[in-house]
Amino acid sequence: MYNWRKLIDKLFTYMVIAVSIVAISPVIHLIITVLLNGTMVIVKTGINFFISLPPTPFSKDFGGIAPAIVGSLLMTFISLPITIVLGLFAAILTTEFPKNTISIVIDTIAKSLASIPTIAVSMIVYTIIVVPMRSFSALAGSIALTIVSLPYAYTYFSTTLRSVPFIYREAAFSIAMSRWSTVLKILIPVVRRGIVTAILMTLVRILGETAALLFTAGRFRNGVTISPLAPADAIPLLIFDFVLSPYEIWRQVAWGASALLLLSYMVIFFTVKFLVKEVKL
Amino acid sequence: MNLLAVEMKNVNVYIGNRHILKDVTLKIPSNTVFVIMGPSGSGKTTLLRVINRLIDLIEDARVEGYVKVLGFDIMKSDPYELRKYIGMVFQIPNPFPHLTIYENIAIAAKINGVAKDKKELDNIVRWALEKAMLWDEVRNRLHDYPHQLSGGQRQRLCLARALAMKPKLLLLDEPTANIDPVNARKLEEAIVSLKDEVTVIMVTHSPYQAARVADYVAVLYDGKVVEQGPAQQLFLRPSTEITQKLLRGEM
Amino acid sequence: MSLTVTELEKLKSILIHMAKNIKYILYTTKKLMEVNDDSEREKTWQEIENISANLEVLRREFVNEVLVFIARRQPLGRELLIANALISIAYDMYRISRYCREIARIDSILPQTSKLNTIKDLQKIFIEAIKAVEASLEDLIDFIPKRLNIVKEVDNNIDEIYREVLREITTNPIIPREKAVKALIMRHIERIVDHAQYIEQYLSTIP
Repeated sequence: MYNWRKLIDKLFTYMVIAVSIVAISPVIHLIITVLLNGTMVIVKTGINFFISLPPTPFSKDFGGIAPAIVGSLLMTFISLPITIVLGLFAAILTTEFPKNTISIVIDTIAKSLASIPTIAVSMIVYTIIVVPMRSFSALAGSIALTIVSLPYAYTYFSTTLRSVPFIYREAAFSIAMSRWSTVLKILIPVVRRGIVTAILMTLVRILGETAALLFTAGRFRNGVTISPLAPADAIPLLIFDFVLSPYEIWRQVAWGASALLLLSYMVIFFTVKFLVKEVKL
Repeated sequence: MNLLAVEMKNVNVYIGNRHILKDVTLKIPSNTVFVIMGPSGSGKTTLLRVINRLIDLIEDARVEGYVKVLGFDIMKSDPYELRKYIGMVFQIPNPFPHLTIYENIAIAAKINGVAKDKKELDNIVRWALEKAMLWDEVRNRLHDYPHQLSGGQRQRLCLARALAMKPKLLLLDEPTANIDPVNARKLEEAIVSLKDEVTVIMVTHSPYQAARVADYVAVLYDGKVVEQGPAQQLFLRPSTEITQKLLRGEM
Repeated sequence: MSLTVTELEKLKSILIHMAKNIKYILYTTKKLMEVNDDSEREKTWQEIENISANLEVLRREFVNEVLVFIARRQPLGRELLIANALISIAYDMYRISRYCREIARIDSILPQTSKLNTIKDLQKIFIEAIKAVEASLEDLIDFIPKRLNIVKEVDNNIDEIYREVLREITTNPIIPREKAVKALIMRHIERIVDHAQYIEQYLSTIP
């Protein structure tokens, strides 16, 4: 009897392990493939990868993806703060006043925005911003990115804030803290790990978003622009274009860009996990 | 100085469609330990939260009746102002986990303007911890975090935090419910020693604890005040069968 | 029914059992005021001595039981008052037995021809006293002082007789031995009835 149970237990354990491996292996395969192929390109090009312009289709030199890097950074720099601030503020509002009409409206909008296909957002921003401006721009790209990532930011923040145990809210009020004091000094710091994770997730979303930039950013690769009103490039856009191209060298550059993106994610994540101390309840 | 710390007249509290407190009338004298006793679900916790208007945090709560706390009609007062005079300790110890022991107490003192500079703050922290009978155990680790303390110590920390506000009223919601007996005794001793400075209102479901600390007792059953009076009288000669059953531990 | 109440009932029944001993010792003492036979007298003294010593041990054990009950069950309210009454009533019972013993001692010291059976009216008076004690012990069954008035009446009567005897021996410069002995015994009988009254009083403290 005992042995039978032990057998079943072991069987289940192995089954779970096996299924987990099957589930993770595509991801691992992906990471390994990208890193293998991409780092080779980066290493071969050295520092030029970060400061040169992309190569012409028949050149032997890999060149670089400087426009894409600058463009991505610029658009992230514009849209991330806006998304975070709006998302956090909306999350605080709906957590503090859940039954208020505005809160309900915000909640509903957030949920519906999330289900709009990103390419549709791209088209909308094209119509509203790009056409009147008569040019693609980093600004348009940023706006599209904001719209796309806002619902997610809001949801992450909202979930995090709601995960604060009620007892801390009660404690804060019991020592005569005002509502906003409580939010700023108690609720947010208690879940600071969650807040930072939310910010990171939003950053990841923004960095990797491709469809939203298709009709907004402009794919300008011939030089590095820092003006938000001028057309710009972005790393995912570059990958999208180069992978589909018939030129081998461009495909190689795409690998490099993918590896760069992946490496950036890993660096960001691990740095922040170490920097922000967990609050032990 | 008011002779009555709290006065409640015909207070009814509804949460949703449940009638939690039914026509409650209470008089709580100042500088005493007033214990509200009763079985689980009788509305004790709700009653306590009416006093410092913490019940506002509950969405569909409705309070009717007249409640006067420290001379203020609480319905007409600003709850945030009111809470400056009322400290509270909860059933589950809830020190702020992201602040050190020192900071937990300091934040309470700072908010209420009790301390103006670092030296005053240090004094208040020490005073509060001494009153809560925790000073000796943490004097050398004021910058540790609450998760490094035991449950009983955390609860005494919460008491110290509440005291740092120098409140006139101290509300205790079954403070020893989740604590080991030794720490519970320490907490009870601390509570009784506070009588001179604050009025203590404590909720408990243990008649023995009530017998140990109370000067006055009110028995709450099914949302109604069944009996109230001086502790000695109630514990020797209760005048209702419900109280007698409670004392016997049958409820 | 809760443990507290059942244990308390058990203690009450032990007390009622002790009460039987008290009744027995009283009737045995009464014999001293009736019989003439010397050997029977001697046997009676011995019996009274034994029962009294027994009761002392019983009382101590009983009080210990009640204290253990208080420590374990931590009674409050009515139960606490009953526990207190049990301890006090046990003491009263013990004192009654002691007074019986004292009466027996006096009887043993008296010269052959002037034992207690020779004292006028003593038997009648003692029977009155026994009536009072029996009434108070009866009330232990329901633990209600129903017969308080009976005991009070006997107490008043005994007090009267005692005062009479005292008056008699204090007015004359020379006192016959019988009167002196009667005074001594009356004092003990008066105390016995007092304790019966205390028992009723303790029963009255319980709501």
